[in-house]
Amino acid sequence: MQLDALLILAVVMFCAGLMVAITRKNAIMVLIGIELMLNAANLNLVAFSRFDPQALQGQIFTLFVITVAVAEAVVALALAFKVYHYFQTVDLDKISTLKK
Amino acid sequence: MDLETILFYFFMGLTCLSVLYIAWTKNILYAAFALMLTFLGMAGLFVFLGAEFLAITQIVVYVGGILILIIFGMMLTNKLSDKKLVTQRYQLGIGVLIAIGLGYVLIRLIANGAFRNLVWMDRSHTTTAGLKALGMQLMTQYVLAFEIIGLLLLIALIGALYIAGKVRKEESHAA
Amino acid sequence: MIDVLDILEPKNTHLLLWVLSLLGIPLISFLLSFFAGNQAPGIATLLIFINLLIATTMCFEFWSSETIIKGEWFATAGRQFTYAFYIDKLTLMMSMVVNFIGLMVHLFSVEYMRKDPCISRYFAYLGLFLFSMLLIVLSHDLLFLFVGWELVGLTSYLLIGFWWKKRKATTAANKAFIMNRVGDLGFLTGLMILFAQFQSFDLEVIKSLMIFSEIEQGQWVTSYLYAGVEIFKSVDGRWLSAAGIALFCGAVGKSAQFPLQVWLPDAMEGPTPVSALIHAATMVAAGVYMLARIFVLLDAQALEVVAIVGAVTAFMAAIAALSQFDIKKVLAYSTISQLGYMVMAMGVGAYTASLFHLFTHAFFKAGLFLTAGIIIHQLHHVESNKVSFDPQDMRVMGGLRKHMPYTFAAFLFCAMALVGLPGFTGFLSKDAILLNVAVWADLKGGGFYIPEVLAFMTVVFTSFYTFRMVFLVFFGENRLTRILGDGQITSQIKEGTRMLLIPACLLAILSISWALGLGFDAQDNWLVRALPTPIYLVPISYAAQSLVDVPDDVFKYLHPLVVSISVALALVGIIIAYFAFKPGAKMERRFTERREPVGALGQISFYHWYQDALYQKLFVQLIIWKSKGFDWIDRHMIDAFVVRFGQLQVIIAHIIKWLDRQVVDGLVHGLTLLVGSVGKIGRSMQTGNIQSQVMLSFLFLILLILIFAF
Repeated sequence: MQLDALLILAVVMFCAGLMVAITRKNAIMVLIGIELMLNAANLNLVAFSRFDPQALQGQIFTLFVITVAVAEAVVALALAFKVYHYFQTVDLDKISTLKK
Repeated sequence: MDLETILFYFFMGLTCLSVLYIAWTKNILYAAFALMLTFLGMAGLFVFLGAEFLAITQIVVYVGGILILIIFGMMLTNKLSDKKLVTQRYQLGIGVLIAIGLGYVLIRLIANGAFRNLVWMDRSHTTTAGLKALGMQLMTQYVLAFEIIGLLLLIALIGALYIAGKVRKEESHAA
Repeated sequence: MIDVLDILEPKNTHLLLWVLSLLGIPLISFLLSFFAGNQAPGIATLLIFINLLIATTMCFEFWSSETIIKGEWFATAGRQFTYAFYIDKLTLMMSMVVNFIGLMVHLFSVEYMRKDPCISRYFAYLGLFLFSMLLIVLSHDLLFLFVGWELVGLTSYLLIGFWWKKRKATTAANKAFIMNRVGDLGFLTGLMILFAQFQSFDLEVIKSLMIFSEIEQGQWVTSYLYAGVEIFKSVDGRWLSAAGIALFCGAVGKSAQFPLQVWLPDAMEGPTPVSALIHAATMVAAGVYMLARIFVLLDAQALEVVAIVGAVTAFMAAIAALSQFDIKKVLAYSTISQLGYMVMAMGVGAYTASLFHLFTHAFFKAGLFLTAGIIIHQLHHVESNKVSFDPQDMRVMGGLRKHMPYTFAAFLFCAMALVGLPGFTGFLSKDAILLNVAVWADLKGGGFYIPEVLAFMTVVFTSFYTFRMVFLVFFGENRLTRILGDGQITSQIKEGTRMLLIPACLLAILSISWALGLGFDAQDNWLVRALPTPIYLVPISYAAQSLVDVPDDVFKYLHPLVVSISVALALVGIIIAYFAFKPGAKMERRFTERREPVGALGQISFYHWYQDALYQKLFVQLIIWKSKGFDWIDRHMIDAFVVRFGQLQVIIAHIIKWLDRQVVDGLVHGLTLLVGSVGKIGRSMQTGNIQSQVMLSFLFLILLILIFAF
């Protein structure tokens, strides 16, 4: 039960999520990356919560994060549908209208 | 090394490998299944970390909800045919560089952090208060946040329905 | 001392109306005729008749008086300019003659020009001519005289080129005008010299001051007052001679003297009545008249030049007249020759004889031209049927005595006057000239016998070419039959109408000496007495020896000799002409076949000593060569320079263009490129791609951690 190992796992997860979020063109993939990053944060919270017996703030915060993640995922996927309906693609480099 | 420790590291490895697989693979479907493994691994780790409720929540919400949503999203936003659901990458070099750079920086921070020496850190490895304590705290100390998060879910639900549900004419024309 | 302004005071202005009417009526005729159309001949003739009456009235009114009419004209640069008219016997007679011959020519022209579409223009020009001629005659101011002088030159030009559709006529008009300009240049120079010395163009002033000018050590000194200010002029004495010779240059141009006489034969391209009026009787005599007006201002040297030029002209023109085919050309050369006589007479100091000859010549030469005009007119009528020939060419004439007897009579009378047979006016005046020349030659001696010899030789030639003309035109058979092979054509030649004959016959009658009341003796008639030779006013040391001072004995002694010699020479000329050109003679038969005379003398005569060719070579070719030279310089040097300069400019422009493009534009372009690239860099960050921005934010997060956490 090494804290450092958990933290490093969280780092790996976060970095992998970040990489996925910034290099993939597909919006769904980006969403996956974001979920990964959220999970990395959750893992951190839960890990520190393990070493704090008095308070359960870590777990409760994780609970909220999960809830927010769900809401986020729902809204993001709804947007993805809409974007796909509008642009016929969810590739992010193709749906850029700010700069042509 | 007891069984508990082996399982713990098994879950860690599972999580780590599946995460790396997500980062590596081009296939979205594979990535989604790898994500499920990650979530399972996470749930396993949560159990070992004394957060049984969170573990169950993780499985129920993530695997049963979000992951299904993601897979549905994939399917709806791709014209499924015999070809593979492959995603393209760009700025890969910079992306990898930034990810590795961030990883390096964070790992160095962790190495320098010396979290074990923190004052509040209990090294006795006492088991946690459990589900009851969590429920008590949630309903007393964090009840406002709990209510607001419920409201947030409602708003997200309505919003998602509003966004995805209604297809306006001009939009369909524009498409 | 004399004050010039005193002389320039207005005087006798109440008599100005006479002069103005005499001048104004031809001017009115000029203006009216222009717009009168077909009525022009009647109106113009009537006006000139009125003018003749006025001139006659003036003769009776002013005969014995010498009146100067003077008034202010304008003042500029402190100098007073006046108009001045002089009325004496000379001007009165001259205006009589001008008006009389003018009237004759008007009458003649009514018939002669009847069919011309431009008849109103013709009579307008005649009116303008009479106005300008009378201006020359009457004015007593050299500037006014010069104005009239130029105006007759203009009208002469206009009338020579009257038939402007004929190319020869327009070139002849140009030639006359240009030749006259050359002479007028001299005239103008003379005016300037006199004005520089006397500060006035008024002849009275010039004469008054000339009396008081002196020659001191070769300097021509004049001192006088001008508006109270004393003026002292001293120039080299040669300027005095130069002034005389320069003024004579004007006469050389106008009176067709050597070397400017070449324009007069060509001027015969104009209508024949015009030739009679302008190029025989009046305008060409204007030079002689002008010499008479300035006679007293000429010094010995100038007079010698005048005499020699006159003699040479008389001789050369007489030679040229010998072989011409064109009847008007013969008359033209004859006119030049007779003008040479007049000028020579002026040069020897025979003022009276010269003017006497001017008047007599005016009548008989106008008569000759008018009769020639009748012949040409009548032949022209024949020509217009179906055959074409030159009606002025004597080769188509001959035997006209039978067809037109009155014309023959008139022509013969005038011809005898021209030859100088006793009983005719020409005899008297020519005799007077020859006598004076003989006396002058005796007086001077040496080489001055040459003019005398030339003058006597001219008598022979004159009678020869005159009677050659008479025989060829009027005797024998008509050569038209021979040339055209048409026997009927001669019967179509008819006598001229009354309108043509009356003026010609009047002039022919006036060629008889008794008709003018001159009697038989040359020395003592009313005309000679009316025009006494004036005394030279130039300083004594420069003045010529006046013939007035020669004792009468000399004249008395020489007179019979000169008369007998001249008459004998004239008869010799007639006899030679008779044997050469009597009907059936060898030369008469060959006459029609020749294009030009044979032999060196014939060639020289026919081509008038090759003077035209010489001028062509000397001046025209010279100018053409010079122009070619300038053209070459222009083309090869100036143009080349300009072209090189232009090329240099182009090269410089290219360099500047390069600099502009590479340096200046480069600077600007570089700046824009810099700005653009900075913009591009900035733009590239603003990709609009959220993932890139996330990437960047994480990059900076890493950097922040690296900077602050370690």
